[in-house]
Amino acid sequence: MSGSSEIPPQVQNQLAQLQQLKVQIEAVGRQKMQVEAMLRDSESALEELEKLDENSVIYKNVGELMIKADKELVKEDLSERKETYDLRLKTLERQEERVQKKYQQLQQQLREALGAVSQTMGA
Amino acid sequence: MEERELTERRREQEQQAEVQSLILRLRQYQAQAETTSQELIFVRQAIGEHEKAIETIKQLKRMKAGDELIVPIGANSSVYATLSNTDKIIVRIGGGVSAEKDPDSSMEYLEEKKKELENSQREMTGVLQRMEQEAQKIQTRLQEIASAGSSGAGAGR
Repeated sequence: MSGSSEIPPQVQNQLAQLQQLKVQIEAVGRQKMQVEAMLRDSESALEELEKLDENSVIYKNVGELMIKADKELVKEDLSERKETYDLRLKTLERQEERVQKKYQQLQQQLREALGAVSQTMGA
Repeated sequence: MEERELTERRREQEQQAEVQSLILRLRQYQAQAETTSQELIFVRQAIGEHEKAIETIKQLKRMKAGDELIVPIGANSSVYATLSNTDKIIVRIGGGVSAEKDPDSSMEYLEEKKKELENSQREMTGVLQRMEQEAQKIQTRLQEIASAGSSGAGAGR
């Protein structure tokens, strides 16, 4: 008799859900890391711009080219981007929290269900 | 007699569960170690690039406008170019933005970034070592279980 045939279908279904939630948690984690990196990048660029003289020449990287740009406009653009990343990060954090909570609840349910199964088997 | 069998069966089940959990943890450590090793390669490459850029600026400072250079264009090929300026370096400062700096502040900026990368490299190497130690511990435990199991089976014969 295989191990999976001893587990009730409902529990098997919950196990599959748990695996899906784990994949989701990992995906959200990866997205969060990407957004955090972009946020840090924008923040360090803004910090560096603040240190530069008023007359410093600034370029925006466009593909392989660099195009001369106005420092104030670049600062505005970076600040807007920073805000967008901040918002995206908060959304991802909330999403991560929700999925984590669901995962823990399901894990608890499964623990109880598996406990009941092993008791039945023991009896 | 029946009680002894039950205890034995329970012990076997517990050991099986432990082995499964250890194997799972070992796989997780191995996957994490692989990711960290890949990241470490990128960080090392970035450190090398920063060192190259700093060295190039140092050499440029010894040159003057009008001097001839050979500039690589990829695939081990180069073109001749004339240096028009030696006191302006364009450095990428992040967020898709680059800024013109004088050679000294460019080197200062690059040195600072290099230090940050070296710190990350140290941290990542530490994490990798810890993961390897943990994986080693798990492997030792698995070997202990395997040898206890085989000696137990031998005694039973």
